[in-house]
Amino acid sequence: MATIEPTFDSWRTYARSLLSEKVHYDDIVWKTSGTGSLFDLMSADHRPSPAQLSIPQSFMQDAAFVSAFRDDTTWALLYRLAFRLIYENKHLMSVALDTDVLEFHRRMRLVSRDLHKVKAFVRFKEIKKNDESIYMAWHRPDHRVLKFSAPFFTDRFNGMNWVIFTEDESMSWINNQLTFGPGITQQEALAFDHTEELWKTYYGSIFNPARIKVKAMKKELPVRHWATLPEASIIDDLLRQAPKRLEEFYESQRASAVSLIQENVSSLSELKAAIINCAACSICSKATAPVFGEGPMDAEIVFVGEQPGNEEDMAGSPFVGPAGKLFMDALDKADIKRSDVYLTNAVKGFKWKEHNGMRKHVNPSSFEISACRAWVKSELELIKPRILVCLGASAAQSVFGKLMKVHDSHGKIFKTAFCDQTIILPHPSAILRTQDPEEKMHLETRFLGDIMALKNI
Amino acid sequence: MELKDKISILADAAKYDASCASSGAYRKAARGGIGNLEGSGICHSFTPDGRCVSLLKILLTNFCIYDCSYCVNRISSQIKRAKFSVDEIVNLTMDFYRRNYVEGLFLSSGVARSSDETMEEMIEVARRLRVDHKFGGYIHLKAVAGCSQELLNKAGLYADRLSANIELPTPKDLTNLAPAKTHTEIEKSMEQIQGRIVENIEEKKLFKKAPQYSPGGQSTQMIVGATKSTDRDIMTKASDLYGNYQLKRVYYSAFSPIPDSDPNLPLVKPPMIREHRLYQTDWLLRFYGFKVDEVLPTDHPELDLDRDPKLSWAIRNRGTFPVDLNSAPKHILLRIPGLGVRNVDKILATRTFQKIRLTDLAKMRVHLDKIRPYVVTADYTPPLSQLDSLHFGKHQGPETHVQLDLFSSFKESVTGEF
Ligand code: SF4
Repeated sequence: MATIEPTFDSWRTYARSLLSEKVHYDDIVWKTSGTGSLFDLMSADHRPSPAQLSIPQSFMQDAAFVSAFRDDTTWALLYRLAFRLIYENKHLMSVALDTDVLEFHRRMRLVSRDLHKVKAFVRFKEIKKNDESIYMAWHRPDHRVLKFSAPFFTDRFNGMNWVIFTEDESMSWINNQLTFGPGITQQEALAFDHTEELWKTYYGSIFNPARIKVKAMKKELPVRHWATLPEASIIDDLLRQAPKRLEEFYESQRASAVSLIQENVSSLSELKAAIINCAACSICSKATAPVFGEGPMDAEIVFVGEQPGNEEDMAGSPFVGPAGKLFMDALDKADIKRSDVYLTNAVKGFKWKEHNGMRKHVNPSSFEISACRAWVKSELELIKPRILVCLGASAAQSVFGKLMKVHDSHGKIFKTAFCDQTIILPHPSAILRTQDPEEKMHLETRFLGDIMALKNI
Repeated sequence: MELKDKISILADAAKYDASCASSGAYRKAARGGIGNLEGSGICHSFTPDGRCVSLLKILLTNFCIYDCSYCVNRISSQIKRAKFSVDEIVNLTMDFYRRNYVEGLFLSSGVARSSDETMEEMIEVARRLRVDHKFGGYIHLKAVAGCSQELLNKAGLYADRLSANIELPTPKDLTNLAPAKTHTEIEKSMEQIQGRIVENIEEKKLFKKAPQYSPGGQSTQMIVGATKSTDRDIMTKASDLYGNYQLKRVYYSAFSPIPDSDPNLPLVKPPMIREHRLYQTDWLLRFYGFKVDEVLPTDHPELDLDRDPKLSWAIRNRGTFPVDLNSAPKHILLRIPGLGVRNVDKILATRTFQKIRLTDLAKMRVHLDKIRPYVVTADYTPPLSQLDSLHFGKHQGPETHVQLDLFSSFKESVTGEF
């Protein structure tokens, strides 16, 4: 029996003696001093210093690594392999399927994995003393791997002073000096670091409650490490809240989903019938009814405006109010018949608020434009116009799917999802709102010119 | 707004991006600086959705002028908006990194005012980290759709990886859901990045000191399940992208219902198993020598959800089997269901010394019942009737654990075993 300290050096001292004596591996029991064995048959002093034993350097390196495996049978395994390498087969390590070799590699993998966890799970806490920071961590590795992590930490955290404690030992890097010392229990390592709060906030927000996989998480983030990981303290809360968060989530979805536009809607009249029940946003619940587009399905030109106003809402037709009149005049002068074109709006409902007893127009929000976009899209897909005119910013946002600068777009022809010749014009109501008569005249003339120009596209 | 609130808003908005890897680049820490890269990234934590946290993945801002239906940040969604200052992100990254929470930063952003303006601000974050803080950790920058070549050139000088998201598998999908974006424009960015990477390799040959350009290459993400495109569409696109722009990774992200989502999008839970099968297929293409047409032929455009794509392929191609483990070449061994890259290497290494027997397979922890019909070993030949049977494959799946989690797909991605 050999009783050793659980260190590689201590094993090596004994192993060398035993190997040079050719003591067979079946004749020796390895015990570490920690296991309470009282006597020691083998004492290093009794042994002559070993003759030259030919063991490959690479084996000794790997063996040193495997010796971090926290299990007393490791010493016997290492000895057996060393013995067989010297006296049985110097190529033993290449026999990949040998039972001892497999076990050696298995332990090597587990130690590597544990070493990886040190690199991943050490969490430093910053402790400030007279403007100097020192970073402290406490970690509980499964195996005795701390010293193997030194190159990683000294390179990565080169410009910091830090100490990593484990139960067995500690390692510190102070003023570019690496030293090892005794370990401490976790209790002694408690400290507070404000950044942990931010880290937990981040951790809680980056998690998606729609994809809970607790088992998978626990496999990679073993519960035994949770005590030293600040973020782990909120896992239970996150899991508890997840079903509720999801429920709310799906609720809000159901409320806003347009389930009305089925794929089999194949005509404008069917769409018009379906829109009556739309509740994708709250506009139409306050309006008389949605005002659907008007015109033939084979129209060459489609005009998209912003939303129905007070008069459109009452009449149930688009472009019949003051701005509509101005627009119809322009169409007239350009010799375009209302009945030949398709007229619709980005938002189908009249959005208003009360002002001195009147219903006053309110601009639709981006959300409402997008909610109603489903309808615009289905209209345009049925009609497939040759020319698509967006009147104003809301119409452009609906058609382009992003904010467009109406002024910069003047005179340009764009290609969009719905039409290869899409253009953006200011909304006629913008002309009505203009106070300065000269400016107004100018805008009106330009608008008329733009409408006339449509015939030449 | 408090920093904490910004983090919660801008991390929340970033969680739908699947890319997380921080590998492929080496960087030794500057003396007295903080941070290095060892080639393969470290997952520093895992969240209860089984995904790893390796980077501080965050948006600069979630304001956006675009209205892409699948995106939670689109202009029309009614979510809380926030914006970090450059300093805030720089400090947060340094604070998290010094505590060993992360490997570095993955910065993305909504398009706040214009593509270029947003990109410039992201580059400034990276510049300050690298130059002012001598930061040697990982930096992944998202190329803002439509930003200028000049900015892409600059971004790659500080970033370890750049990515432009292809978003959806077909141009038609994109037209429907993101009318303001096009594949042409996105691929132009990829091409520009790729062009610079190649140029940089040449520069480095001439001048050792030439600064590195995006040493970790580029990657992209595709959203899966928001449209009706088939798995064949998806993998064809992925395979084109790998081929054309030498991408390091294509990420597949099961469309996850987003708060306040567009009425046109599906309301279902994300199809995780499909995502998993896509990752498996991706690996078959990249490491096992399969072609899209083999795994997803025209008459079989969707992946089987109940068995892995290699097994499905084997069942459809019984003529290839059984394969003799003692004589078949590597590329054929790789096609045997249940044999991963590592085990194939072990077999090749072992068979120069000794004949492979069934017990050797058991030692490698290969599932014997599953592999038996496909292999010939020194001591075993499967009865041919088994492969010829009409019912072949019936007993081979559906797998009992159908609800495979996303995580195991990453696991397999690492080991490549299936
Ligand atoms: S405005 Fe449009 S989306 Fe909103 S309820 Fe009316 S029809 Fe539906």
